[in-house]
Amino acid sequence: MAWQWFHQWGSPRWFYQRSGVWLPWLGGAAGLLLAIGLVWGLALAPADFKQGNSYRIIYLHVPASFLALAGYYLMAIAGAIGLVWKIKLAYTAMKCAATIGAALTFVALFTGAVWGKPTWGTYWVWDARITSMLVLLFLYFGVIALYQAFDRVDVANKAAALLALVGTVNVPIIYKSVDWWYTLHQPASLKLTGESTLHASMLQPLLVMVVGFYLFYAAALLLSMRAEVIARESGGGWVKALAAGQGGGQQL
Amino acid sequence: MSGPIDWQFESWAAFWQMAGHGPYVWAAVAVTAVVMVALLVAPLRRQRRLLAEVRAEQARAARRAAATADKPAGGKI
Repeated sequence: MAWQWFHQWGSPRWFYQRSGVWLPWLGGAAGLLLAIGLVWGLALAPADFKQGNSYRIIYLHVPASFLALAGYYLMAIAGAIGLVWKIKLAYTAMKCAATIGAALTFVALFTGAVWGKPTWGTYWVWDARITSMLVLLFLYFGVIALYQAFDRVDVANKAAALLALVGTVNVPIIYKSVDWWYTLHQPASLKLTGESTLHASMLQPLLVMVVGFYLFYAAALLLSMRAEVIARESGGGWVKALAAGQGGGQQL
Repeated sequence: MSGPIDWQFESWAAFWQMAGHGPYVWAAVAVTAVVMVALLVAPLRRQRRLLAEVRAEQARAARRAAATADKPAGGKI
């Protein structure tokens, strides 16, 4: 049973059909949560007594940073699955996760910079947390670049997976950087264990945004993987049938 | 009046200004929104383009097949 479930993921056609069923639900739930969280965080949550309204950037900065990091793990695990079980769809996930991860890491850095200006008086500082996030961005770029460097897809897959796995060393460093080097970036406000340092009225919209970002990430990854699967399988019969079916639908 | 869930701003103008922090907050919102929309739109456009290419290839193949059927003795296409 379990193995059968696992092996379904080897079928691009199965993935394309299933993900098409999941996507409207994922996208709808993500859109709803992001809309609620954004209005709540920007207009309803109280202002911070020290930082004023600039702290509201937390509702984008923290979820984007979470996904930049979680997305890196996902990319590395997908690469490992590809290396061990030679499942092509795992490599597809890794390749697509690299682009989305780089974009979200950029969002984390940008929102951090515009938060830093009114709070610290500077857009950028070579703080441990910020520098290690920049390293994360370059690791994502590295995986993307490897795909462009190799003509043979199987070689690119393996090289990118290796880089992704080696780069995982950086992720715990990012998590711990605020504790190991207490420079400028504040320690984590959200903790899995122990009390959060955020007041409930500020924490609740943040949790809504985090869940919304996770769902958004899943939707974006599925969309990207579907396009990648179509690109790879464009000679296949099911893609031709799909193209013909959509062409007829659009002309009518 | 000042519960945890209340509108924090007196007017739309105050909401945009955010007591001087508006440019920072709204820049963060705008850039995040643009990136997130791009992450959804780019793969959808790519998929539509790829499927259109497959259709174009099918149409070419169909024209070739029709042309060879009309002139079986190797006529000009």
